[in-house]
Amino acid sequence: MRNEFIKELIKIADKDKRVVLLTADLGFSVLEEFSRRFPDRFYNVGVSEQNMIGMATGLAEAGLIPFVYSIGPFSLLRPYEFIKNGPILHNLPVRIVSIGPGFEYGELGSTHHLIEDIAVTRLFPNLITYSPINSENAKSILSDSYSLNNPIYYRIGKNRDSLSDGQLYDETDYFIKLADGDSHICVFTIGSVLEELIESNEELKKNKINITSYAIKRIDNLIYQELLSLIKMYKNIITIEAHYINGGIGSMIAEIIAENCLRVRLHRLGVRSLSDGIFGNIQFMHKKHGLCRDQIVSLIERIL
Amino acid sequence: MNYRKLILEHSKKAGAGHIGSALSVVDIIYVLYDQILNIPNLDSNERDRFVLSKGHAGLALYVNLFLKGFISQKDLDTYCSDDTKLGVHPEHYLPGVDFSTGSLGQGITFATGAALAAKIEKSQRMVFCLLSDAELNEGSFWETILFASHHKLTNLVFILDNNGQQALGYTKDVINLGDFKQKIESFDFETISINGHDVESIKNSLHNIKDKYKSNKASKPSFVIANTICGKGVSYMENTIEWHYKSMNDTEYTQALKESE
Repeated sequence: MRNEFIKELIKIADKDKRVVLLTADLGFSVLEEFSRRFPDRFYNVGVSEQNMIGMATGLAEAGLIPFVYSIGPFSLLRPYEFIKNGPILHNLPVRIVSIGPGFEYGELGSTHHLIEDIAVTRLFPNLITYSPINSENAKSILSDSYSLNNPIYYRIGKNRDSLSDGQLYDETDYFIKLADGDSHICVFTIGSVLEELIESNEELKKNKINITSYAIKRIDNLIYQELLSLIKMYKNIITIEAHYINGGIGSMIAEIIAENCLRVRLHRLGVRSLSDGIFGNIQFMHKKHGLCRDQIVSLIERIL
Repeated sequence: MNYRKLILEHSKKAGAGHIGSALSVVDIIYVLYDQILNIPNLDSNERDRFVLSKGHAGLALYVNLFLKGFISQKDLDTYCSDDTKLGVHPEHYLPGVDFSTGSLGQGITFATGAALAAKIEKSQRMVFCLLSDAELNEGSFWETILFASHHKLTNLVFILDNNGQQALGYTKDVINLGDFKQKIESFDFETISINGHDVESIKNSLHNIKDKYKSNKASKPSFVIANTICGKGVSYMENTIEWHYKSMNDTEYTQALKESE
């Protein structure tokens, strides 16, 4: 996904001279073409994420559209207070690109996992978060959103084949419908863990069970109303996220249910414990935290 | 215009602290707005940028925005009262403030970005950033000067308010910066030391930097070490740690006003 995202950014930068790309020394084999095509609009700032966000603030104030690029924890969490006082406070169009959120860098260890980002981004009233489901989706999201006035946070997958690549889905401003169902259950997910959901839906289909499933594509202040209109149609909501259980999409939906006194049972699947120092690939990490296909299937069967 | 008196009056009225810091930098900010900054109008992207990275000296900026006519007497009189845009730390919502500051180590990075933006946009505008010596404790300071130097941001001028004090003590006792002129020079900045209260000296040095840049003779970013005195102009405040925070009682205020005449 990240390669396609950057290819699309190159097309945009070709037409729009305001686009500038900063990286904190990451993006090997991904950013070279941009740097070659636009040498005066590409800066490797070195391993200095705080400076990168602060500089992006200065660039955006002058009317440019800076993209800052790094692996998730480094582009978002390391310079978090710079984001608060820079792009957020000044409401400037800085674009923060987080590569590989969730457990996409599973075997690289805890420092490279990003399981906190929804919690710390959704609290800013003017920040828009985009979480594309596949490469095609990443490209269309980027071209539609890059010139908005708000600061934007893009959660972008790294180079993995996606189950959802090439497939067509119903898409609205906030959601992508992964599956249509006929039961009283609705599932919401975000990011690459959606592949576990797609697989579990295939498994359930064998027993003629179809579950309505959505991937959340965009988060901002208006999503709460959009979610409410969906949630109130179901008796059971399941959320699946490679994110700490507190603060993520499960928490968002819990807030909506509580504030609107909905008679809905919420089942949250997410990360409930600290790392124990045992790592593996993304599927291993999902299984370890109860987010894999079989665990989703068994939860749904229990509810039914 | 007696800008020190304005600082004292508004500090007293608001009962606010950080007087020492404002008195430390006010001569520098006065020269910047009076002589150096090119601001055709506040909406022009071609205007020079000024970043007060040590946001806690905000009152010295407000006083100069007032003297320059960017904010009114009425605005200035709201300093630190309810419903004001003039808090202790300046925010960009106030006309004339380019960047909100108050968290040390951030304004300097905004300034570097602003200078890079001018280079990308092939503009001749300059960026002046006033920072505190305590701010050199921040890792982001070293990150940003490495970038500015590597990319030869000749339109960028850092001015260090070198008063030797920080919140809980003297800088030499808290985190000894040693010979930082030599340190900064080793980062390949055009580095000079001046008396930060001598208006003529501030004027001359900043004019020289500006002239050199405008005539394409600059090859490095600039770093002006302005040697200053925290609380300058009020004898009982000068070089004392407590006046980083304290506000004046009536007796202290009367004496301060007398000394600032």
